[in-house]
Amino acid sequence: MLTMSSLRRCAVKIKTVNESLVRETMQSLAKFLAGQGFLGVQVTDKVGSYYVDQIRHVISGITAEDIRGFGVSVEGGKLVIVGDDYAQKLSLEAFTKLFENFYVATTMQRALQSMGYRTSAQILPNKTIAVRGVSGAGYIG
Amino acid sequence: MASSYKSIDVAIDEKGKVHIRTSGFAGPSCIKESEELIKRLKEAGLEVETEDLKLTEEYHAKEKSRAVVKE
Repeated sequence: MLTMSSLRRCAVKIKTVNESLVRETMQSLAKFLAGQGFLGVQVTDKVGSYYVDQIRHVISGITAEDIRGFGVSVEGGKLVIVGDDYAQKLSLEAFTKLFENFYVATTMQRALQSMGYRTSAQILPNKTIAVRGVSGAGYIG
Repeated sequence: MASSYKSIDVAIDEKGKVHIRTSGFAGPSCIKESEELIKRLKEAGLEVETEDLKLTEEYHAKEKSRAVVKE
């Protein structure tokens, strides 16, 4: 049987943010960071800065060993990532890129599922997120 | 036994580039499937711009070859 495969490379940006996907993404990201040796990672709806009286409410965020952490807000429909990375293992820039990639992966899985695919995801050692969608007979998942 | 399963594999690299590979589709329907995926991603709020697209023909020889013995 002749079948064809296609390879497509895309540039993807988050244009408008879905709050439910933000929360789901943060749960996945927290599990990933815990697996990377970040102790006491917790998902929260408020993150603080070094000055503990500066607490900011967010859609979802993560903290590690204290109230400081990173969080995601939406302002004017756009994604805004806040946090205090002073003396943290992860910079705000690195967290932002991680969150964006995890958000795209979560959105990708939902889109594939809506098309009838069963999905799975894993993070490779080079930090590439691999999402697989399969359908049809002959698949043992 | 022949397998009719189709797959879409997506790799999101560290820089955020998204690589989509469709496999197991008959003819050019693989392109349509990845376009449908992109359409749904856009509906979900992502901005997606295709930078490169390649189509590769694969012949899946799933039938067992039979040795023909001629005497």
